[in-house]
Amino acid sequence: MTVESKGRDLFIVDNSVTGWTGLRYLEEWSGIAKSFDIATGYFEIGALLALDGKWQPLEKIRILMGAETTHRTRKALLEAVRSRAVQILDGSIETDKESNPFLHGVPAILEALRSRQIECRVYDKDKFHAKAYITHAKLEVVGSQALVGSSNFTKPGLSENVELNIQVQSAREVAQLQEWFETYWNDAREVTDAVIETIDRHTRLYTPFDVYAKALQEFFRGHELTATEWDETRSKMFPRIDRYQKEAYWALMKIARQHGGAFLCDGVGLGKTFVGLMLIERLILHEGKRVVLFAPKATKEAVWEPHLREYLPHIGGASDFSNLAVFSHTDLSRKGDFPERFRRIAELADVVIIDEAHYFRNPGTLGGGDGEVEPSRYYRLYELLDNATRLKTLFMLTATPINNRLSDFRHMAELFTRRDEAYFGRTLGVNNLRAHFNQMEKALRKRVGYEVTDASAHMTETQEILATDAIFRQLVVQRSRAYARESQIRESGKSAAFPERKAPQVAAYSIRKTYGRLLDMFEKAFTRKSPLFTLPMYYPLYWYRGPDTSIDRWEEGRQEQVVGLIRTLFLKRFESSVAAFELSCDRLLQKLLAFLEVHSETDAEKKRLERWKSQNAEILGYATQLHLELFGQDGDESEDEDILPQEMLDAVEHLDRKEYEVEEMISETFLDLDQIVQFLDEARKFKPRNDDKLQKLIRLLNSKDLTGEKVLIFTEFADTARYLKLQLEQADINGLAQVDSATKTSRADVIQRFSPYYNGTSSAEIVAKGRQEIRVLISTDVLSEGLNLQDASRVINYDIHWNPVRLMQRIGRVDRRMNPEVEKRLIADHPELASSRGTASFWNFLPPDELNAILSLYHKVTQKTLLISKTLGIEGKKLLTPEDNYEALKEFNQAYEGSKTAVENMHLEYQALLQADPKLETRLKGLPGATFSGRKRVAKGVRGVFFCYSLPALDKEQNEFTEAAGTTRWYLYDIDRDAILEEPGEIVESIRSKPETPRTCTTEEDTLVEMRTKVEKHIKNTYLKRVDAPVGVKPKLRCWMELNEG
Amino acid sequence: MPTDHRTRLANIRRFDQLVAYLRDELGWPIGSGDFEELTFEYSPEELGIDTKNAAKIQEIKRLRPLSPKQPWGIFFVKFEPKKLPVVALRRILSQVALKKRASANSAERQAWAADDLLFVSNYGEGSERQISFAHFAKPQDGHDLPTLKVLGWDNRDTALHLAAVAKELTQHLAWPGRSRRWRRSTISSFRWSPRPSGC
Repeated sequence: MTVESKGRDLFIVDNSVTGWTGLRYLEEWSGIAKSFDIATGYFEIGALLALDGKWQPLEKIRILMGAETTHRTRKALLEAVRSRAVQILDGSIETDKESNPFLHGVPAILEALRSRQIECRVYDKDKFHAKAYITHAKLEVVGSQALVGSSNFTKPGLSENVELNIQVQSAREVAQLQEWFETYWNDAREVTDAVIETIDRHTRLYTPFDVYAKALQEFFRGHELTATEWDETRSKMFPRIDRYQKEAYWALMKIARQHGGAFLCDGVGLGKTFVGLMLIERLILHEGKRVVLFAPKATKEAVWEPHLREYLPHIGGASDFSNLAVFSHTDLSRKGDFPERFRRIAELADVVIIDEAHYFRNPGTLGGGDGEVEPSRYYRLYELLDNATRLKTLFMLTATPINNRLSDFRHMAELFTRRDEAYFGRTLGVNNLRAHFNQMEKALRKRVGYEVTDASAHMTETQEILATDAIFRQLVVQRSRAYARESQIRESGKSAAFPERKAPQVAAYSIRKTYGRLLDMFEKAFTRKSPLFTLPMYYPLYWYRGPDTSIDRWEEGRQEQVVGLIRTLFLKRFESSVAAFELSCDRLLQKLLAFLEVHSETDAEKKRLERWKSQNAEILGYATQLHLELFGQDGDESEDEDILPQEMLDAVEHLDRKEYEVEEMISETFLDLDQIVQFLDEARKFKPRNDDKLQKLIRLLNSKDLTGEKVLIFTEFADTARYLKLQLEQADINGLAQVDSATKTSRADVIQRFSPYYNGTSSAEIVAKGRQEIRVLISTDVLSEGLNLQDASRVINYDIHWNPVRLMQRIGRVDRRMNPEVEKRLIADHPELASSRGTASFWNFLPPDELNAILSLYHKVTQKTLLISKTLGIEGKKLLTPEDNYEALKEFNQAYEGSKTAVENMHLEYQALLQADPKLETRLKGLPGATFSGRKRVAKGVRGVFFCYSLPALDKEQNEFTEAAGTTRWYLYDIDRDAILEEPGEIVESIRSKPETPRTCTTEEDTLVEMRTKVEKHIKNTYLKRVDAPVGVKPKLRCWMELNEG
Repeated sequence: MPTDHRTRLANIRRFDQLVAYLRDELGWPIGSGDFEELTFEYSPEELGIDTKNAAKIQEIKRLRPLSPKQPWGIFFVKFEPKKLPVVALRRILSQVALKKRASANSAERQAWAADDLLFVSNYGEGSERQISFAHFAKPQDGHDLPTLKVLGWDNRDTALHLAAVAKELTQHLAWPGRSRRWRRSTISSFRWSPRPSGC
């Protein structure tokens, strides 16, 4: 644009569409100039690239840069100016790669810099903000001219922004400008070499190994934080934990920061408590948070409290000034001052850590507003976490995030998602959490069969599905024991000792010998249409004949389920022990009688009931006597078998005869009562000496395998536990103790007496305090979780292990990390145990001859394929000797030990690379964005192009999409199949390279760019669409590599 | 020089032209990216649309959000050159509108309140190709189906009609559009016509 001004044109360059752009101006000058002197705030490579082909004939280009920042000290200014100039240049090259991936034109610039055809200096004495382009023509007749104004030497400055630059034509004025330029040029610092270094980084030819290692680094960058100075210098816990535990702690911190909640689901016995302690220390001391810890009562007393005293005395105990509060899970339902305390906690706490979080896998009852029905512990916790003013971060620790259904995990996650179905929409692309889990359940059923309702029988398949799930992968830290072991070996050359787990042994017994005729009666009772019992009082809707047609089908289904559960419970208790079976009969009998009392309204009905009671008075008295023997006068009944909510069993609702077939229900109930009485009548003939299972146990405890050894006996039922205690005492088994949920004595005391060395004491100390050490401990599953009972190395499962998850927890009490110091002390005090230390043995009680019968009864009442048959292959009496080598047993061992996942293997691979070359990590961090290489494809590898992208996600705090909040993903464009692969475990096989793998690039650049475009389109229409990324949010290519035929 | 909205509207036959209009004339912060970059693609299968209806659809795209917490969704649906196939449009609506029962929604796909959805359709033969805005209002008087309301134009429309459309658009679609209030006024307050005959 030119403007008339007193007879001379003012030449303006403002990048306007109709006028001159800076670029065009310089292009035209390039044709006639011999050199340029450029003063600019910034220099971007794009400016020279835009002049590609034009600038080359110039003899010299001098670029004088500055910066628009000020710094207090000269040193700070100098460094800032230099690094900023280089940083801007670097950034401009990264941007340029989006449209010019192979940086065409850049090598020429680099060459010109090396030959000093282009020279760069930075004026670092003061803030430098000038922009001038002095162009020196080859022909003297043309002379020199200058353009002075606002355009930086950048592509936008020369062609896009609205700028104002005016040409200075007068030779005198240009000479003055030149003088000005020279003054500053002479005062500026030479940075050409730094510019060369910056550009060279982008144009260097990288090896396949560079790309492969960088891809691994990027992949795991998204998953973990790295050690902070605080970790290294201030933390007391940090040096005590292993590498894999540190990784867990970093990862959990990062996950929780991104999502508000995180799960630690390492396998049993891997030291989750230690990671928990590390979290507590960090959160309280370094981050100044208030932390609340919830743990099962036994674990709280026996593990957390002593550990907190031992390892974290510096955070302040419970009675001192401390930002830690520790509660039992059960405290949530307690009265007294607890509700008020929890109200305060809800107000003040920042972080909640839940140990054995799977106890919160089922929401249970919400509780009525009328206060009649108490809310479940889940809902109490849910309420406690509900505080909008002080958002709480949640950490959940559990080895078994899935017990029965995949939705177990969802329920736990909902404690922090607050049931916002789209909670993970913008971060993980899951826009409906419930639907997402339903989809996974469907996928699981498709694999294992639609009739399967319990995932615990299919741990392998469940794990496989979870391993590929976005939510599970992002929220959960879960490593196998195999990974932990190998990680330790790689790190320190040795791994923590885990005992050698011996193959389970069968303790065979005969149900028939124990029960005699009762077994036939029991089996016969199952042949009825309603197996075992009809139980009308628990399934009244079956007898409903009233007018209401709006009855919820779900409610009817629930009632039917209750009856099914009662039947299952009877079967399990029948198998467990006669005592458990009898007491169940007795309890049910009382409930049925209560139902009849309420509903016998006519004289005839009342008479019938009275007659029945007097006819069976003896039986009723007998059952009560047994209860007294086991539980004493004021003994509470066990809470262990809380399959059925107590309130449901207790409530005897009065049913209206106009609506229900009450007469029919009464008749059915009498039939049930008769059945129970028959059972009880037969059971009373029973004598413990005929109890084959009990006698087998006594023989086993007296066998050489177990004499003198600490033995842990698990049973599902308190009735059985108490019965065994009574009988084993009579059989003179010494050092005996028993514990169940109703036991009044301190559980922590029992644990210490049974496993003194792993609970901070010793046999001598126990004796010195006048306490008796326990050798044989009978327990229900109250002791099956989270406790250190490694002093024992022998476990007996007295009942059939109906639930493999539970079985794993039980085994995990003794088959867990051994502490070398504790082992040393233990063996020093008990040299006789030296030979048995380091092994863990298990006995499973099974009735070989009646097993199939029991299994088929189980199938009949549950319609489920029996879990144990899948788990331990015991169908058809197979698992009877330890020599039997079963595929199913291997599967179980694998589930217990955990096979390393593909990602775990990749992590170990990366760890090994870093160890082999200590400088690798820093070098990889220095690689430019979109690092490219190529190689001949591996023998069975894919032919195509590999891409590693950093994908942004919504940072909820900043309310913007950032890479830090996002993740890294790999893609492999498979040319032969014209498909895009996304599974890292599969992709890694095609890209794995060694430092000496040669770089081979044979694919046309256009083809590579075309594939990159396809992959980016794919990312846009998959990941970015799911997280609903706004316009302008793009994936960032970190590195890529062609895989060709060589 | 003030924009002659009528002329610009009359010349809009394609989505990219509409997007340019929204950007240049109504101030939408869309940036200079091409239409492909500005939108997400959907396939009829992905939205559970049956083959018969899918055959009528050439492409389904959604304008990417313009800010991270944008509560509304704008779909661009290009139909084969015939009249606006309402059934197909309803199918799309049923897939992207939030359902009462949470688990009935798609796990991966985002969903919006039906009121917050705007469908921009492109259909018609050759020079009669036209653009229309469709919105499904909440059903009134206990009707099951949401009511379809349409605002559209083509180059044969009278100057008066184009002026009326331009007024509606400039009044209700001018940015800023972050607030809930804006979106309600944008989407719900058009003077929607009942759906055109033959739809």
